[in-house]
Amino acid sequence: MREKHPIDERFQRVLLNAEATPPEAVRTALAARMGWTNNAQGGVLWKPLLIVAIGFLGAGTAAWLWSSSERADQVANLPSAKMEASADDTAQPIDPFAAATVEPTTAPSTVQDIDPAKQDVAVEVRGMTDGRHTTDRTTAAQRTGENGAVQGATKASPITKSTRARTSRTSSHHPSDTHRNAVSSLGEPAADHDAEKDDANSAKNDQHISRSQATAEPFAANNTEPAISKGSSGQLGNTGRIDPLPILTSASLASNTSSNLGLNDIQAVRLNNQPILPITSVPVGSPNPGSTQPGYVLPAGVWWIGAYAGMGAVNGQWRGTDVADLQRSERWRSTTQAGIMVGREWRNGWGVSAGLGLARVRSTFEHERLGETESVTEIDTTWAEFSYPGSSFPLYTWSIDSVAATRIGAAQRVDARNLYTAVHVPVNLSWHTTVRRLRIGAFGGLAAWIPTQRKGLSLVRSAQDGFSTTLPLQDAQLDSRFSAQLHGHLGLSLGYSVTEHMCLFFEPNVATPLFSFDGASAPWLTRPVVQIRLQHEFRSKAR
Amino acid sequence: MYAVCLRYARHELEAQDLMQEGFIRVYEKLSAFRMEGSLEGWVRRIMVHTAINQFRKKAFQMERFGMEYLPEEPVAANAIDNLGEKELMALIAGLPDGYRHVFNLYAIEGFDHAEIAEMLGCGESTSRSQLSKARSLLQARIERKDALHHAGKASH
Repeated sequence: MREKHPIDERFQRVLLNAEATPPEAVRTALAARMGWTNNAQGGVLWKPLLIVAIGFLGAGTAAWLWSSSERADQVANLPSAKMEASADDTAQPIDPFAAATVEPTTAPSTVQDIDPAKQDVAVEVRGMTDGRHTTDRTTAAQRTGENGAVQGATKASPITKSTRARTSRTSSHHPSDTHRNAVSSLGEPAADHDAEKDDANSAKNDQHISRSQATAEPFAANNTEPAISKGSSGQLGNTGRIDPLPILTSASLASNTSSNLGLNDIQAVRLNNQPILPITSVPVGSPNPGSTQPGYVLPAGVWWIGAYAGMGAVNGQWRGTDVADLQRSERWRSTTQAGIMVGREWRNGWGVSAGLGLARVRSTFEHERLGETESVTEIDTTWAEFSYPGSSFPLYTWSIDSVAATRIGAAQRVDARNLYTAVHVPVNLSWHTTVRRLRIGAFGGLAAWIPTQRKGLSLVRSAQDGFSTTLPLQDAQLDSRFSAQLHGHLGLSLGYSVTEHMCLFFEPNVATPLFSFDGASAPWLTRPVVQIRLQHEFRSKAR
Repeated sequence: MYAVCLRYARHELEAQDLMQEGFIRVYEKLSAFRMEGSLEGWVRRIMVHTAINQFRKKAFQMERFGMEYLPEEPVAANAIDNLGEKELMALIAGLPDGYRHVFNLYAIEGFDHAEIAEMLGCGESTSRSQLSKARSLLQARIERKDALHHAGKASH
């Protein structure tokens, strides 16, 4: 049975349907929490942040792609690459594996047919570009026909050695079609060529000759250096057909007993119109066409992109004027941070990076405040004594005076959990050394600290009575306390390479404010943080 | 709804927090509203539950009393009638947390002690004793106000 009570009834009658209008701050905070507006006071400007983050990522990716395409263009513009581009229709499809075998060879090569009887064979090694037949096969003999006899081709140039070495490497690594062709072109194995193949080769060679004549013109005019000679005469006599096979290998040369042609007999000369390509050039069709360096040359540095997250303690204090109450009321608790970074690390271990992230700082707010001052009416009763007229009986009268007094309210404790959010833009300089899979180093740098959102309570000095009163942190009056700051940080970096491209770092570090862009009171937060960073490096693919 | 929050909160800032949290829950659960009853009543219930949950989250130690019923003296009928909405609200705000919630839930919202005990996580006897104590406190304060009121009138 529900008990009835006059107090209950009265309160229910009056208060059940009572209404009150909340302050505007409640609506604003609610709108911000629900995401109804992006411009709520103190709200995070997510859209600009997202745009900035996407911009960072886009710029990093574009820079990486641009550098890759630029290197690819450089390769494409190399003479060898151009020659490849103008290869005849019978050229074989690109065989990356075969291409890799001849990668070190730097100049096109042409082998002139060998006449074992006369031993008067001119062999011109101009290099080659890849496993396919080279198309520019201007022979020394042909040039001899144009320029006359070539004198004194007996001294091997430095190019000769390198060419030998590279050719030898090619042979030993890849007994491909090229190799077989090379063998067959030098004597006995040539008998394996059937007539049809010879015809095809002859047709191709005709084309090659016509092209090479065009390209050999400058050479014909300026050739002051002999090409390659074999034999004692020093003259190039045989101007017969051009063998379609471009590669001479040590193995093939050694096996070619009929021609008596040995590797030592081959001398390469520099052609005036054909620059010696640097060793770093890579033919088109290599496993990593975007790189200008062969596989065994380490890149100068690597780009990387990473994500980090960390948490730690906060040792904070308020700096500025009139912050004593603030100092007492706020206890700093913890911080978390997360974001993305892009950077570049060089082979010497140094690296630079930049990032964008969010950091949060938590604190508890406690403030003892007096309750609202209220006006009360105090009763003062004054007694008066007098004798009844004509008698000795005392009579008492009283008067009641009501006095309006101001009564200070009871002490009231206000507490809140404060949450501060800031955009964190770190720029780091780092150094690492590698010990097997471990990477040990340190890093330091600067970071922009841009407060964006805050929630909770803070104190302001009342202009009326001079007492500190609480105010929601979202209030615009407090904006000046949370201006942008410049932070510095320093830490250790201990990494473990999970894969070739992925490294996980454990980075304890300390961040502290260095400069505030507003001279008013501001929180000065030193944050020892333990951070984990996952880093993906854009290394060239494994060969 | 702000008035409901004010009745359950210790002070205005807490009422504002309750209001905000309550409305967020309303918007989150709006799809669950089946349009069968009063929307206002549904929102009000959410507000009340938000306030109670907030109260329980703070792990407020419920005050327990040995007596379920305290001796209550009748209060003059006209004494309470003289008080307006603002005064009544102030009287409720002046109650300790435990009393305030039980009184709000029982006297104004109309819950019974079993429901209150379940909502607050306390026993029914605790709910009864706190209601009784709340009434006693309110009665004492009402009478004091009434006395002041009459005294003021008499002086003029």
